[in-house]
Amino acid sequence: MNVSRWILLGIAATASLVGEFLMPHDPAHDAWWNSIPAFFAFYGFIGCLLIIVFAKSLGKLFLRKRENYYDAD
Amino acid sequence: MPIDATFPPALILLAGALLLPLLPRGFRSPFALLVPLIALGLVWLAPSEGQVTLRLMDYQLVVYKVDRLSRVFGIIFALITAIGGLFAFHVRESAKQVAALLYAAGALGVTFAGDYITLFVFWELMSLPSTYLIWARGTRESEKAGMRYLMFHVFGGGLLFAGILAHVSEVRSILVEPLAAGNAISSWLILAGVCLNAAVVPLHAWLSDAYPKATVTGAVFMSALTTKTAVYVLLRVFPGWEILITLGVLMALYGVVFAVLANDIREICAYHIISQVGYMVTGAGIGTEMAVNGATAHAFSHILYKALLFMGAGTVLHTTGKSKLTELGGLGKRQPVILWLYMIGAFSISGFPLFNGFVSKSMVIAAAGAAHYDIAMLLLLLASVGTFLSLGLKLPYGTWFGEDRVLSPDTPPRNMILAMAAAAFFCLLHGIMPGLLYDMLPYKVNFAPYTLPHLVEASQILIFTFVAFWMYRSKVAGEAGITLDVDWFYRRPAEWARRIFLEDLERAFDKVESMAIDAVRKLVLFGNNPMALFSRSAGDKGFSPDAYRPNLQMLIILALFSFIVLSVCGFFLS
Repeated sequence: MNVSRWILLGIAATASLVGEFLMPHDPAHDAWWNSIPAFFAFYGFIGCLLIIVFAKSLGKLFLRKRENYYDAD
Repeated sequence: MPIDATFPPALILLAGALLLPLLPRGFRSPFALLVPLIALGLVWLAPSEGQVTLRLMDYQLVVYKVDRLSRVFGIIFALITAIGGLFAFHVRESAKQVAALLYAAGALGVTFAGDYITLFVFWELMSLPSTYLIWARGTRESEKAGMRYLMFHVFGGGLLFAGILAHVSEVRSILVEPLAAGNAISSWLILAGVCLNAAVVPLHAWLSDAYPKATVTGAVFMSALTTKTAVYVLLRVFPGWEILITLGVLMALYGVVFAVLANDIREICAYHIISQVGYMVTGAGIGTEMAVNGATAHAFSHILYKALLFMGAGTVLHTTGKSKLTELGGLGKRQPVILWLYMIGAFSISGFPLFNGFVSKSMVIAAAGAAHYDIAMLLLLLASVGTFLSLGLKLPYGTWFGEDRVLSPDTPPRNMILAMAAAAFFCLLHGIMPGLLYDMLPYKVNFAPYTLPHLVEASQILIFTFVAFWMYRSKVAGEAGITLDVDWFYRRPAEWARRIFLEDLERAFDKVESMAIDAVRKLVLFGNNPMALFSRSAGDKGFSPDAYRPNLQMLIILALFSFIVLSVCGFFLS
């Protein structure tokens, strides 16, 4: 990733964070998380880490096996 | 005058499959492309509420029945069979082409079936050709996986058939109609049979096991047909069954978690079929008009972008011979076109604005919100984080960017690229003009995907998922090895069963046999030489009278001598 791409990403991130305050939420969509600012930014970030950590620890615990685990069958 | 196109498209595909091997070799590929296009035309022109009935013994079969729901599924099945036919244009084995056409005939037959008998016949028609598409890969792994796949589907077919028999005997009607959620065992059997084909967790292991081992071209048809036919039946027969909401959300997250662990690029795609079908199953479970619309739209979008992803991953396998992230890397400079076509599929499945996943996935999620399933809504959003993570970031990063493993890929056949471009075109078309998709849906649509809150929500999730991925990208990289799934529960016990019932039993028989032979040998020796009972030294030698003669002579002499001595003593004493 070069500098110009990081700048573009930064602009997009800012726009998405600012955009939230420009328009009220869809009433049909109204849920408790709509009152938390930047909720989906946190949700994306934390959710991504959560999925990685959860999956990888399951893998380490018992799901990942060597390539020829079933080879005898 | 409108053209009367009341003709089952499945029959066109069946006829095509039978005709194809009779054609000259050079005509087969164009024919395999033309037949689904004719079927597509038939579905497109089919009159609403058109139906064809047929009398079979006491039953009035409705072999073909068109309504808005079946039409939209029919359109996408025929369309993807044509795109798949283009992708497989270079394939010369007619068996593969026939299998693909038969498979699609099964899917279209189920879609337009108005009664359970027709539905079941076409349902079963899908399983064997699809198995062949796995076996045709020709590796030992694919042979084994194909057999497991077939056995799974035979079992599922059995559940469905048992359910249909019980259902027909209960209600005295063979018509396919929505079943009320309740306690009828027949409904649950039908549900289980359908859920197996929809890869509902925990009946999903056949999918992630077999799809990565199928042929490059076969996997494209498979990714589109089996699970989405089952989704169609769920939408038709089981709308509003609440258990499907729980199962659907579970699937959506399950696929995501396992995709993070997967190393094979087609396995990542396969787990994301389970995840995406989870959205559709949730939609069926919610069962409102908006949810059924959303699930249908998502099935339509999903078939296109998922086929595109499988084509992308398949092209990598076709050109490099490799499909593991640990063996791929740095292909971007050598395959820019494939990379960007793949990325259109990845952006679509991740729900980027302007791509078709955005306009359909958001509809399912919004339907969950409108029906006040807040937790389901949040968890589906979490699943979409995982989708972008695996298919939008991990897979392309590991394949086309990342560490350059200096691979020199072959040039793929042009038809492969064209097929990918065709799928990508529709992904973008519906993303930019969602009305084209929404107009086909079963109910009237009151949903606007491009509102500011939707855009803000999607872009925040996507941007910050990317940031988290970038920070921890080394943790997500593929690792050599395999992941256990619920297939462990039959693959491992199969090994134990084989060990107990074949190997151990054989060993026990061997043991008994050798013991018996040994015993007989000893008995024979003993019969030959009873002296062995008394003297070890008699050993293994057979009985020979000479061996004991000197001793015997001595014994007789001694006896005679004692007798003489005794007589002499007696004579003198008396």
